[in-house]
Amino acid sequence: MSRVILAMGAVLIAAMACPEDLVGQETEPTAEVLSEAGRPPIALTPAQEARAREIEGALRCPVCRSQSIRQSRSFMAEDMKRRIRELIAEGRSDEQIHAFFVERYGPWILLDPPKSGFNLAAWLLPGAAVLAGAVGLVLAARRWASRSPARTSVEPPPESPYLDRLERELKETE
Amino acid sequence: MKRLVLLGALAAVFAVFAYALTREATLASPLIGRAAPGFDFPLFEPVGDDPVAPAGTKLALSDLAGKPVVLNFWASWCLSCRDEAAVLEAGWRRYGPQVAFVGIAVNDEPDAARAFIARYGKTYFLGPDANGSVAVDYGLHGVPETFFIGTDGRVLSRHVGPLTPEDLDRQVAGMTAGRTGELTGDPGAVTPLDQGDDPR
Repeated sequence: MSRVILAMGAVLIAAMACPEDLVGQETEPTAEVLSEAGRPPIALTPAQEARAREIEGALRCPVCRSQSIRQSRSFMAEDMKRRIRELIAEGRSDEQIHAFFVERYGPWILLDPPKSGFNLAAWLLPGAAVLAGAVGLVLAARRWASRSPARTSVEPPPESPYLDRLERELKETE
Repeated sequence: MKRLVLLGALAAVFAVFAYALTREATLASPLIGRAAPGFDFPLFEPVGDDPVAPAGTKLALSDLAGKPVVLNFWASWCLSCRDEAAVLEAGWRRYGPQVAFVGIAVNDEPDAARAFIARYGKTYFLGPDANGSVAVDYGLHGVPETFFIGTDGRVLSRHVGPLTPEDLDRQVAGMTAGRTGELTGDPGAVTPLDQGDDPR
């Protein structure tokens, strides 16, 4: 039983991991040099730069799918970061930039899935699981309480000749 | 009995996660059926034998208006791109210039890309995606990927992975007929853009 659970967990973790983590492949060095060179920088104000970073955190990297493009160092993520800055410099709003990427990659590119269709499960299941857990805890607590009533009741004091004698002598001294 | 129920519940959760993780592997493109994103990039070498070819050294999608376009994303460091290099050149010689063939080198060094072009004798429109913007505009996941654009400028289909001669013939036939195609190809054969597989 535990082996089956462990195997399921291992498969899911492996599937979600970044390919770099799985096989240790490295970035093509010449291409990395190219990607950094020959590209004029895009000048943004600090507020625009903050917006760009926030949008980066909301978009999934198409290469390392378990990461946002802000976390990823893949070429595709770098190209997308640059595109975000270009779009901000053009005056596009955050919503328009999100829509730009959804139009090209589909809603899957958003790390927060849209609240519709199959993706609704991602929003509803955690709440349902917490609710089910709470109900289960209440039921379990009730069951435990009903099983052991004698342990929780107050036991009458044992009758003892010494207690009788003590009480009698106390009365006599009064 | 309880163990069976627990195991069944775990299997159901596993199945849901597995479905969610694998359904993206099909790489379906939302661009299919919509206007192809424009591009404008410098050519490695001017192409002389296409009457529509611009006289200069740049190519824009608008230069090819009214023509079906085979738009291929490739890189010299990608092994699968070597597999399809001869297929694309043969396709260009067979279907061009009625069908325009365009190859955009993604995240590649210009000298390495030129050496690749010379090695495989490529003669169609070829240039670099210097800013990476065309790759993002087409929602690229890796190379090779090929988009088929109709005469009306709409993306008709997308092929993921290396093209075989049969793939190309089928896609070009669909493109010239104006059919909006389904995704074809092998997503597993795409090289993610941070994983150059050149053993150099």
